[in-house]
Amino acid sequence: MQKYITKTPDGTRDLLFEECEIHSQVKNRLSDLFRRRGYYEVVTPALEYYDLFTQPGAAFSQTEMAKLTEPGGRLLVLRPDSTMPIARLVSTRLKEASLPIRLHYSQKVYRVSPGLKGRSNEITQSGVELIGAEGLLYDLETILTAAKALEACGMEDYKIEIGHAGIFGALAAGLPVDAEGREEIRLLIESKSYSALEDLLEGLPESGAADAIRMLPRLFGGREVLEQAAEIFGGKAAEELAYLKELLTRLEPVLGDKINLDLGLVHRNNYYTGVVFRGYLPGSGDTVVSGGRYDKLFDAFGSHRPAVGFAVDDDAIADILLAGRQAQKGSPRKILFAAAGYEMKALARLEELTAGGQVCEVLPLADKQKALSTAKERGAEEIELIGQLTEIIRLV
Amino acid sequence: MRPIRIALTKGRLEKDAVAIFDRMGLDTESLKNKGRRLILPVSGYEAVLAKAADVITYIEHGVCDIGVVGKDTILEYPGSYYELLDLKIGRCRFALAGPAGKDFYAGYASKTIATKYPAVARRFFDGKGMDVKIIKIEGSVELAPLLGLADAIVDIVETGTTLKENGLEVIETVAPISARVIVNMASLKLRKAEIEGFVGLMQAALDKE
Repeated sequence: MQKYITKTPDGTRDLLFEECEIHSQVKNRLSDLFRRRGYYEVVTPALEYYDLFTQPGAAFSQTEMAKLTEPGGRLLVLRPDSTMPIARLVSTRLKEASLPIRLHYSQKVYRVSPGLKGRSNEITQSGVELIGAEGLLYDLETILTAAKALEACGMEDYKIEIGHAGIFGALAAGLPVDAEGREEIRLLIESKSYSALEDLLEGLPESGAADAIRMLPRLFGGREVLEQAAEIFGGKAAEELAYLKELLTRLEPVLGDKINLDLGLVHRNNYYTGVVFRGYLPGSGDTVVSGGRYDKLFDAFGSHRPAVGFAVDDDAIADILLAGRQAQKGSPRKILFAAAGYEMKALARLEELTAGGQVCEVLPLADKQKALSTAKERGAEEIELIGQLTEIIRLV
Repeated sequence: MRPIRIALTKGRLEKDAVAIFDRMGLDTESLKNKGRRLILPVSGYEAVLAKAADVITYIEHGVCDIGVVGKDTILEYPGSYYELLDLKIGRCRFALAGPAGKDFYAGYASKTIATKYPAVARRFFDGKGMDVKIIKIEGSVELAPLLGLADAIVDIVETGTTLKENGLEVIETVAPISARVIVNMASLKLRKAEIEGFVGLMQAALDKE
């Protein structure tokens, strides 16, 4: 057991010095942006009841949640996501608040990933939830906020893609398959398994819906996707498509080719009810932004509240910012060496310098040579030897 | 931006995959004479050769963009990536096999299955609602039923000769297998034209065959 006192658990890590600075910077920039856009910050407990994350349609897999038990025997989990806790909070403590409610958060979420795959089990996410908000304006606002969030972190080459959760539902309703078959088809679309999807559809009678489903995973990219889809979509799916066109037409003048479509976005299809979107950044193989409209979630809490939101993976952005940089021990500093009997004088000087924004630390002064070598080790730019007199030595 | 990086599975699929590259008109010289290099230039792309499960890992993390890997590995190590193409090379199947002439499903006693692919075996029997004991074997799985460790095996079957020589026979096919083209999710969105271009060439090379 002794060897475990020197390790962090799988999927977790310590952050040091510059890593910390960059992580806080990302968090601060995002929080600041959300705050200026009228969102109020909330913090929810890291521990929640297991039941909260088993709501039909919004459930997390049992295997990906980290569980604990309460003394009474109730099952707890480390929150795998922040939206459910916020829905709980809004349905109770903010029950009477004027709508829409704008909330933002920046906190860790926990997942249990299969070991040794290099995945994090502890991820910092910053995001917003816009609750009691129906319609085009709020969808546009949320997508733009996601784009601006990436820009606020200094990311320029990002891509945001939008899709609509209703498209798959509308098309799948036209297929003669049961719930299981429908889920199988959804998974093949989600993983863009063109050939396996074709094989499966070949076993079904030919129909317009089957043709449209067959094309669904291939329908991603720019505006041209709209025309291709318009030819094969009918009914409700055509309506959702028209809505996406509306969104794209309004967002394109602002976001240019950074905004794209993927009509095959069918992840968490029972959770999302309208527009869904994702953000990608060069340098990260993961989805950095994930969000969409979830109008049914609040029904579980006994009140219908349409809502839309997204989460940003802070860690992915911080990793991009850190990649290629030389590890540094944080910002340059000044060291004050206090001779015996002059401790308070040194501390007063520390007060004075730090008030002016200087990064500074105090150490006891033994002898000058030792002070100089310590200063060098610690990467100080300047030192002050504080006794009856003060000697300032510039090192760089 | 770095060139599009392609991860190929070493071994069984390698030769067929390189043949497809040839038909695509790529310069595969470096793949045929690898020398000591690990990252090989292939007509403006970069290629690496890796063990099957590692191909998936490299693709999932986005350090390679396009991968060629068998469906067997995909089934055993599910993850999040796109599976764009069935290359129809390296065809074989996962099968449940047991001693010839013996009814595997007979009796009430719970069965023991030896396999190199525990996740595949687990899912297969979950689908049947059958409780079985699964034992992971690293080497020749055929040995386990002969030694009396297992009632049957779940393994890759190509011709069935090895099974036959050991007095085993296929009880049931679990899943067909062939090589697939997988793509990192972010790469496909960020470098759509390049990746679709490459996959399109592959598709054309397959159609030509």
